[in-house]
Order: sequence, then structure tokens, then C-alpha cells
Amino acid sequence: MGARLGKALSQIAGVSIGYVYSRQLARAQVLAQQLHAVAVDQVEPIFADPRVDAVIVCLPTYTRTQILKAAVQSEKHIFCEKPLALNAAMAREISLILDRYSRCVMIGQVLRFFWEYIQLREKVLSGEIGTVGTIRLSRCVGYPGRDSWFTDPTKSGGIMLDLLVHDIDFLLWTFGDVAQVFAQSASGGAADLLDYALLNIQMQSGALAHLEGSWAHPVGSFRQTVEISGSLGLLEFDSQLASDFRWTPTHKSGLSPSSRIALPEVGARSDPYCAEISCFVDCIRNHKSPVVLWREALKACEVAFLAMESAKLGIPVLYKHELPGRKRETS
Amino acid sequence: MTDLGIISFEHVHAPHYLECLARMDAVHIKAVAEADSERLRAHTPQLAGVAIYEDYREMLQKEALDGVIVCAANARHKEIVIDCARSKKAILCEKPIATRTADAREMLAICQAQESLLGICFPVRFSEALQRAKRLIHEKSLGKIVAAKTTNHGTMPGGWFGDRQLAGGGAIMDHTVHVVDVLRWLFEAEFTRVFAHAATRIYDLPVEDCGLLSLEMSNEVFVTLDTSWSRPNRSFPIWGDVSLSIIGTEGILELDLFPWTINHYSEEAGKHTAISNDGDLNRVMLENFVGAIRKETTLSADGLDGLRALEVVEAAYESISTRSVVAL
Repeated sequence: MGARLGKALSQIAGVSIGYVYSRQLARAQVLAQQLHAVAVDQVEPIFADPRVDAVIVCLPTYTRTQILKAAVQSEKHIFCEKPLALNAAMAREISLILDRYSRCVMIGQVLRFFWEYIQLREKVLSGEIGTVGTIRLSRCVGYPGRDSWFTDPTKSGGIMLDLLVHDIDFLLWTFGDVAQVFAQSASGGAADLLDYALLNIQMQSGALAHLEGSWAHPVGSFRQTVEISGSLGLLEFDSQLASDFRWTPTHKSGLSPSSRIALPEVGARSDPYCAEISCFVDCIRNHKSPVVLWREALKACEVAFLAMESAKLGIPVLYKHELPGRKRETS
Repeated sequence: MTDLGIISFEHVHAPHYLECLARMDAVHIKAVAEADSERLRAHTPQLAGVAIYEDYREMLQKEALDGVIVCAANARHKEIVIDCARSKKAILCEKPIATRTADAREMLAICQAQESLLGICFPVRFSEALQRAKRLIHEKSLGKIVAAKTTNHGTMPGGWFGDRQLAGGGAIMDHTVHVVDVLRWLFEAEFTRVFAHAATRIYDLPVEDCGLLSLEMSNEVFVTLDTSWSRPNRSFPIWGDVSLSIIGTEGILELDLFPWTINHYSEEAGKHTAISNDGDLNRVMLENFVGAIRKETTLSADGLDGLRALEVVEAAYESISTRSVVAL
């Protein structure tokens, strides 16, 4: 993700990348070279450098808290990848770190910048399909790879957090709060090389939402679908059917383990990753509020945590918004 | 010659059953019992030569029938099926078998005591795609089955379907049993746990029009089932769907049992109609019933299958009112 966002950033006039950080210097060097930046394997130079206005945090979820703290202490604008928090404890910590922070903070809930999802949301909000009855969201990709950090739920949160946070965020953004969550999931562990989850959600409004998240699909594949039904009509979107470009290599090639998750292919003009990072830059330059507020991103994480709890215990879980940070807390 | 009667045209499929039966070899529709002549008016040509009764009991008394197909509203199934069993007729009953499992158990007991065949209208079992799926699963081509994401969406059928007394419930009562029966047949496993959310959002009804079930089976597979009447009545190209996405460790099987095979964009109708080859399933189901009467074959879906499917429905309603998971 760092590479993708870095490249998108470098195309914006007046923006230059100063540093690329990775724990492995060699990895940082590859991207730094492409972006004409300095490769570092320590974060301190970045935070100490007054020329750095903003940091783009694309580190694995489980490593981010200290980085965010350092960014706040050095007063940098922050763009942080999703999901914002790995668990409730981290969510509380981050909430306290970011509370009252006046610099721009934006979270990479990139689905809000996909033309299809923007259209669907506008149609719903316009009332064109009437009272919403059912919402079906699906995100299916292949297993991220044998030794990938994604597949360790203690590092990534597993599929309900890392993958479904996109759809959970879209759900909250478009349809309001959830009331009750019932989730089922199967992670076979490394032996089975898959993860799969189904969520059955009752919204505060009364509408019902069904979410499907899959790391059980063919490696390298990507499919996202939406179906929204209402009293005045029905909306459907299926990335597999809507493709304007379909290329299939017919030679046989082996698939190697990789720590990448397949992303949708997009052209530069319509690239939602370009759109989101441009939005971030625009917010910094023009002192605007970002499209994705960090509190909203934490809320989406909270719902994912509920789903994980539900799946673990085999019971429905009620939603209660419980994040601290709105009032002063003595430590 | 196998002589059959149809009791009630309340259910939407009755006219199609009539049509299928008329084309079957050595099958004769001798009589139809329907109190409301309005329901029969559109089918007058197909009913030529068929004895029409207002009271099905009179029909059972007067006609020598080998079997009866019960297409009454759900709540009426119990009384009718019991009367048919007592007159020693083979019975094919529309789904769901009844509106309460207690009624279904009574029906099963009496049919057994009277040695009356009791079949339930679960035509989806006869889908060829489903036969292939069962083979694939049993060959372990999908590996270990982990989950199934399923739907049986529909348009709101109207009439008594929205009447709690006659239907026993809304979308969940209407659209749970087909998929539950299919999954039981496919996996040869039973349902063990049921959780459900329901809502009335799309129509102004005293029953639910949206239903989302989360289920577990005895083979450790978890399942979701969307039973909602969420297909718009006027603008949607087709009545609904039956779809199953089966996730295994070695593969994924996607079944769309009523695909949009032919898409017809009509200027005159001003809409798009999607046509699926679904008529065949009813015919095959009826042939199975007739074959069972003739003792040439066994009934595919019987009263017990009907009961098991209804148990899931009842558990779903209990789950909704208690906001908890219900164990079967």
C-alpha cells in the first residue's frame, strides 16, 4: 500500500516525498529510489525534520501506536492506513493520542473514494430506493500468503477487521449505526490457508445487513459486490460483471506465496487511491476536514471487534459506542 | 392410469402443476376442489372435463383418487392433509408443511398410521446443478466444506402470504424451507443452531418482509440465508432467486439455480424480463410423486423433510423474539 500511495502522492503538484521508512532498509530503498526520497530504517529522522509536513503511515496494524504518538508529538499531519486499531485497547490508546489533535488526520478508508460506492450511497441518501430493507456487501480475495502478517489475527485482526472494515465503514457511512451483530467465521489456521466470515447485522434503523469477507477465493482474484433493497427499488453492483477490462493470461504459471492482497485494477484518472491521497493533501492545504474522520474509522473498528467477539462466543452482540477521549482522563 | 385431484388454488404454483400434470403420461386430473371460483376463472380451458368441487371433503368422498396435491394456504395444510390421509389418498403438500411443528408432527403421525404417502413440494432438489454439486462435494473436490452463503430472494407474493393467520409468518415462513431442504439433502446433515434478524421495511405488512438467518449444521458448516421479499414487484426482471455459494478448503462452488439465461428487453412491456429454465423442476417433482404412487420409485422429499425444514423456521422466529441463538 505504501508504494501505491507514494506513487499517487508524487503525482500531485507541489508535493515531494522526503523519506521512505521500512524496518528493512533494502525494501525502503526500492521505493525511495522511485520516489526520489531518502531511505531510512529509523523513524526519528522523519519526525525530527521540520520540512516534513505530513506522514503516511502504512505499517502493519500491530506496529502503529508508537508511530502515531510520535507523529502527534512532532505535529505532523497524518494519513494512516486502515484499520486504525487492532483491538479495543489499541482503539482507546489511539483515541487518547488523537483527541484534540488539531492537525489533519485522515484514515485510508478508500472505499469512500470508489466511484461505484459513492454513486450507491448518493442513490440511497437521495431516497430513490425508498426505505432500505436489506444491505448485502461482499469482499472476496485470495489468501494473502503463507507467512504473511495479515494471516496472523494478533497482528492484523484477521479477516473481519482487516478486510471487512472497508464494508463496515461503508455501512456506517451510508446507513447509520449498527444495533446488533451476529458473526460466524472459519479460520482454518495455516494448514487450511483460508479465512471466511459472514456477518448478520441489524441496523439501528431496522434495516438488515449481510457482510461476506473471504480470504478463501482464488489467489490473485478480487471481487466486491453490493446489493441494496428498498421499498422503491433495488441497487446492485458487481465488480466482476462491471469490468471494462478483462485480461486473462493463458500460459500456466506457478503461484508463489506472497504477502500481498489483490487490489482492484483501476486507471489513473479514476484511481480511488489517488483520489483519497489528493483529498488528504487538499485538506492540509486548505484547512478542511477530511472525508474520513478518525473517530469514524475507529467506530468501524469497534463494529469489527463486536463481530469477532460474536463469532468467538457464538452469540449476538449489541453495539454500544464506548470510546474514551471526549472528556479529560487522568492517567 | 393415475387419478389425481388438486385441493385449492390458493398457492401460486397450482396452475402450473395443473399444466404439468395435463402433459404427463397415464395421469388424469379427475377433480379440483376450490371454494373461490375467481381463482379458477383464468384456467377454465385447462379445467375442461375436470370435476370442480367447492368443498374438498365432498371431493374426497365422491372421487376415486390415487393421490391429491394440496395447494392451500399454509395454515390450512394440517386439516386438509389429515382428511386426505384418513381417506387413504397419497398426498403431495405445498411448502411449508404447516405453520407450526406441532401440527406437522400430527400430520406425520396420522399419515404413517393410515399408511398414506406424504410428499412435500420441494422442487429445487431436482435441479441438475444440485445433483452435480452433491457429487462434487462427496468426491471431496471442494475439500472440507467451511460455509455456505445462500439466498432465496423473492417478490412479495401478495394475498394471504401477508396474512399471519393464513401464512404463519412472512418472508421467513415463505423462503426458509427451500434452501434448508436443499442443504440437508446436499450435505446429508441436520441443522443444529439458528439465529435470525427480521424486519418489515419494504412493504406495509403485519409480517416480516426481510429475514436474515445465521445457521449451523451438524457437519460444522455455518450458513447464512437471506429470505427477503426484496425483489421489486414491478421493475425487477425476475421473481427472485435460489443461490448457494459453498466455500470449501479446496474450492468454491457457486450455484445460481435460476440464472438470467435469456434477457428479454421489451418495448411493449417497457421492461426487462429475465427468463430462467425453471418449469422443469415442478414437472420432475410431480413425476416423482406419481412414480411413488405407482411404487416405481421412492418419494424424494417426504413429510419428515417438511418437518425438519419447518423446525428451522420456528427456531428462527424464536430467535427473533428472544434475541438469542436457538439450539435444535
